[in-house]
Amino acid sequence: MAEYKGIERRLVFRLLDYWENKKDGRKMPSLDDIKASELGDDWDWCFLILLGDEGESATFHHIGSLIWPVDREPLVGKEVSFSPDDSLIQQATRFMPRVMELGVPVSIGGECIDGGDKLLYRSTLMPLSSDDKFVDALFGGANCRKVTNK
Amino acid sequence: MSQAVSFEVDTYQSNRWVLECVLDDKDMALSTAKRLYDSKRFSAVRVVQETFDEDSNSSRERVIFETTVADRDNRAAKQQASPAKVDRSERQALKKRPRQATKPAAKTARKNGPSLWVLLLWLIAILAGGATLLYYLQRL
Repeated sequence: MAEYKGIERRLVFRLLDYWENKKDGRKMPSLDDIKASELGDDWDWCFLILLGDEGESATFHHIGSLIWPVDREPLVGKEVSFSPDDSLIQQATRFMPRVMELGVPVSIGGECIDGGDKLLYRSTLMPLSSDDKFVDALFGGANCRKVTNK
Repeated sequence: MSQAVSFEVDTYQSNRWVLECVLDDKDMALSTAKRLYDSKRFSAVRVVQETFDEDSNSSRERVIFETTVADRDNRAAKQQASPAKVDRSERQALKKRPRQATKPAAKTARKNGPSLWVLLLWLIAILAGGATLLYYLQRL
């Protein structure tokens, strides 16, 4: 896991800190607490997911352009299950059930292939709740770097 | 055998451990635990390594890091108890003892009693006096 030292980790730590600060005495912040203007450049590495009843029919509310380039078919408004296999966004959302089950942030790293490039990525997924009881949205972030063959 | 390892970061609140986050990277988990602890909002934090064996469908947990307020207090006390640094600014460099300092002392020691020459003169004077006395007695 030594490859992840550096920028990938710093983004995750920043997002975890942001989520932690937004809790403000609650178990977790709400979707309304997440502000693009407060996240600056990190917003392009972030995504938001809305959850339906009992966590089903999860749909994208926002996907940063650095995770899902704007020249691709838009995923906003579509179900998370439409994410292409092994893409960065698919990898970054694959542990959704665990976040909903535990109600705490989960951070995972690994390898994936996106846009024909082999990537090393680190992602985090954090729960959001409007009533501090049920997880009704997710806030995530991921960044990556290309794997260069030596 | 297939095993999945994850690291759970817990904080101690209201007499119980509360799960804060889960990571798959040990270093990140330790960093997260230390950051939470440094926030001074929790009396203790810990990192639990969970190894899930997919074959046996069982998991094993092991605490790999734990620190408490007591640890922090102990560290602070240890730092306070450490001996104060010597202020070398007031210390003067050591100098060799001046060679002359010993000789006057020796001379002073010799002056405390009669010198050898004085004793010799006394002896000669006594002997001369004795010889003169013997000569005078023989003449009687």
